[in-house]
Amino acid sequence: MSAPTDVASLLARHGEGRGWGALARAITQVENSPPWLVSLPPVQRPVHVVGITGPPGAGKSTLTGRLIEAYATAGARVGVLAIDPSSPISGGAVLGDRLRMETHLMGRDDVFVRSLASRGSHGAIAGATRNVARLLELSGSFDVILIETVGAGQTEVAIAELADTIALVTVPGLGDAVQAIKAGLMEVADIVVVNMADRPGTPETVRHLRLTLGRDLPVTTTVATEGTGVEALRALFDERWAGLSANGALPALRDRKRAREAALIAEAWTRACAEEIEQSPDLNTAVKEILEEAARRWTI
Amino acid sequence: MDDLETEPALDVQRWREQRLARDYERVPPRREQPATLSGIPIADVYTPADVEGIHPARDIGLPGEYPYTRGPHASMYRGRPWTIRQVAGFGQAEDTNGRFKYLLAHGETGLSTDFDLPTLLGYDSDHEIYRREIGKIGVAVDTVVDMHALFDGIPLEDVSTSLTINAPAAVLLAMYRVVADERGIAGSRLTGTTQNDILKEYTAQNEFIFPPVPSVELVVDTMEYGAEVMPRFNPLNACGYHIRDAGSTAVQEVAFTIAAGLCYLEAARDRGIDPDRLAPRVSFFWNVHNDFLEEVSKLRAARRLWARMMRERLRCTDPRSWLMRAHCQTSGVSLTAQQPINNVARTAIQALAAVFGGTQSLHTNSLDEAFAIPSEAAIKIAVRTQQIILHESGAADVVDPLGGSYYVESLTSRIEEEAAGLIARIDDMGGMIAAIESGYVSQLIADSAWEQQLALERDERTTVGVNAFSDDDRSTGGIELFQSDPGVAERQIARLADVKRSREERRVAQALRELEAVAGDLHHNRMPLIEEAVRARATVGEICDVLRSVWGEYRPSTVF
Amino acid sequence: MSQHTPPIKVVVAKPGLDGHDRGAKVVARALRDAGMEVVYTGIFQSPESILRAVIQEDAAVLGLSSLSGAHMEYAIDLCRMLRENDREDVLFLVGGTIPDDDAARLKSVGVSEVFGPGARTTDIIAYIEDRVRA
Repeated sequence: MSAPTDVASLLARHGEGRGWGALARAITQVENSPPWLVSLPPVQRPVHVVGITGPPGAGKSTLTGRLIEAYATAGARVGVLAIDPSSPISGGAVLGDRLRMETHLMGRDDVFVRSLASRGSHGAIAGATRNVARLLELSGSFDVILIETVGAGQTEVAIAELADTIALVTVPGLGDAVQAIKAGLMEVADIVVVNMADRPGTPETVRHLRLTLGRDLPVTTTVATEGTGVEALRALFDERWAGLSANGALPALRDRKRAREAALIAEAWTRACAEEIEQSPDLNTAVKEILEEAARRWTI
Repeated sequence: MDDLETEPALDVQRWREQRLARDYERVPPRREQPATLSGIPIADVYTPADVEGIHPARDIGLPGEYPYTRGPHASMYRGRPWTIRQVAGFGQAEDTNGRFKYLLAHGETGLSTDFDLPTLLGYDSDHEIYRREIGKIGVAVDTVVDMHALFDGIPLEDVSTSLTINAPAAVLLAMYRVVADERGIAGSRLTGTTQNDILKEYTAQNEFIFPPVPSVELVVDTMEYGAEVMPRFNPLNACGYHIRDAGSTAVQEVAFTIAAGLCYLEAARDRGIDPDRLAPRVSFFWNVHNDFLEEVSKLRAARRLWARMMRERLRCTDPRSWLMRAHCQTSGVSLTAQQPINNVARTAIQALAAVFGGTQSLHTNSLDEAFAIPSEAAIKIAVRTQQIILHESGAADVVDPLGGSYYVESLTSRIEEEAAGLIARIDDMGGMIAAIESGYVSQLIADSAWEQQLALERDERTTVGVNAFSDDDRSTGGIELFQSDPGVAERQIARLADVKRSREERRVAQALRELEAVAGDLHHNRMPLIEEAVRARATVGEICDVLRSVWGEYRPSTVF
Repeated sequence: MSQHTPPIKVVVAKPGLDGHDRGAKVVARALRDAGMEVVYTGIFQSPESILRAVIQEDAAVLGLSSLSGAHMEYAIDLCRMLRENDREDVLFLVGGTIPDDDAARLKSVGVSEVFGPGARTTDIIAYIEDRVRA
């Protein structure tokens, strides 16, 4: 594993405007390098990075598809990163989010969707995802970047944390809402979306969330399969971005996020070093020698 | 010497420990854990003990009587043989009409039609994107004009026709009726089927258009329409064939199919229609796969389970509602590209299972199945296969010949039990639509397909010519594969343009408008309006587009 | 760490209206179990949406599954589109009900290999690993 070699020239090639190929290859470079080896130029023109997360079965991919449609119809250029878990056994993955979004994308050449597998530790994927999002920002080709993750575990929280706006998608029924709270997602969320809002229990769930969250946190409802509430959600995202940009809060927010990102990457780096050491034959020999010596000296 | 009078019981334990063990010492068992193709374990031997819980009168009965385990009719093939019904469809209507006549001339006794992908999915031949699929795997039908040509010279009052169509079945059903009507043939004389089982599309064949709920209501529309206007026609053919070929087990095939049948009838009941009015015209379509005895048992189990469901669950009182009539097709997925002539043997064995299982109608696949749609020469062999079974094998002279076999009765009961259990689980989920939308059904099928692939690749299962006895032989014995005519698309598009030019646009527009106005009212029967649109020469695509605009489109499953 | 080669990325696609997806799904699962990253596009895909997936996902392999007789036209289209977009390097595989004559013709237009009925997933995996890691 080494640092990406080609990113600058690929970005330049992308700038010549001949399709998505160069950008896609740049992403591969970044994806295939450990995040601590990736160094990208600073972002001059920040783009709103929105994380869409929450427990499985909440219809996130469908909602993301609808959001893409809503943004694109409003004339915004959309980039999407969809993260799916890698199999812990084989290391492979079936990246199924693109499929779930596709019906809303039929024929759209102007939307860029890239699937990423979680691959390693949550720090590594979080760092990698943020770097890829940074690449998309640097490309100058997007007005909004959506990051969609599946699940409510540590990895998803780590990835979501690094976005400017974190939308937690849940469904009616208090059980799921409680699960999300337990997972720590509630703490990082900037907006909570109750999807499948045509199901029974929606008003109760919304009420409960507003009470529990206790702060000034917007809770909104959608029926992604029908597109209901999606425009309102997009408006909420835009409102928040406008707010962050206007009152100068964005740089401070991003600094905090960078610190968090650095911590996650440091964690990932430490993990990688430890793995390397564990697998090192020299270590095994050294440990064996120590144990043999100890056995020799302190035989009972 | 054994004293038969003082040793009445069979001592299977002793037999196993002494005789069988000794046999296996000499020659070890061929298979470690013998099981049916679907994974049901097969015991060392079956004896009366294995059928102890089975009651001869209550569970097995007599042919033609509830619960119909032994067959839906008393005389079975000693009276009327099963219908030889080979599916045909390619090119334009005239091309398929030619194949119909060929098959009838060679002794088939019922027609069955395959439609091309645009038609199956409710698109017209002049659709900008799908032109390349016109007429390739089935016949292109855009309007009732094509339907007329399809059945040109065929006496609809005498020949039973099956239309293998699902999502737009309502349209094709109306077309069939209108063709007959315009020829002066009363609806009451028409016999045949529209497949029209939309629920299996979402999990197996993927030829759906609209979401499940309105699609099921459309099926109810056709069933009610059929009961009124074509009372000898079967508007619904609940299918296990595709589910099985998609990879399911025999038990899943039975359970998902019967659950679908129940779903349609219960939806009808929710609309205030008495199931007894519709159930007698619900027919079934089963796969016949490689495991001969499992397939025979499966057909018997399905008949008995349906009869019980109809009588006890739906409380139908008409015996014709309890009675399952079935068409079978030999398994397409079981046929190989390697040494294709072997497929004739496979198909013959599978066909025999359908006959022993008591089918009313049968399609036998052709040896070139793995490459293309059937050539004339190959389909002729498939027809002859059925005729040889009927006239030479003696199988048709005995009613339910395997009835009473310890193994077959025990396996029949087991399949029935497990299928009933799976249906109960589906009920717990809220019914078949819920089970489909949650991905449950698709996941079970995908998992089973995966297991079968593993078994094949690990050589736990043998497929002759593929992972055993293989060579480079791909010969079809001189039979030339079917080649689709590249000119079909252009000709069909031209014909469609002609029809559009010569029809009365206002009448079409009005009919479509009226359909759109009521489509959203799920319990409103749309068939009269669809029929009017068809008479006005509206196209399959135009009618489906109206329904698309009201109901939306269903997204494909994402289950692996 | 130094042994770490990134997973091979594969797009598995079903073009046109053909809904027979048993094989495509089994292959996707097998490739995943062999450590590859599989983007399954699902059914009802146009050549354009398939190309877009290959390019945006920067896939090394494209697997097309077709059991509807229209494989030739779709394969020819996609070969041309891959060429036009500088992606001739993509390993293009086709599976499904493909007569032998068609298989030969497919290979002449740019398809690397055809895996017909009865093909083993282990063979497909070996073929991909062999060609991509070469």
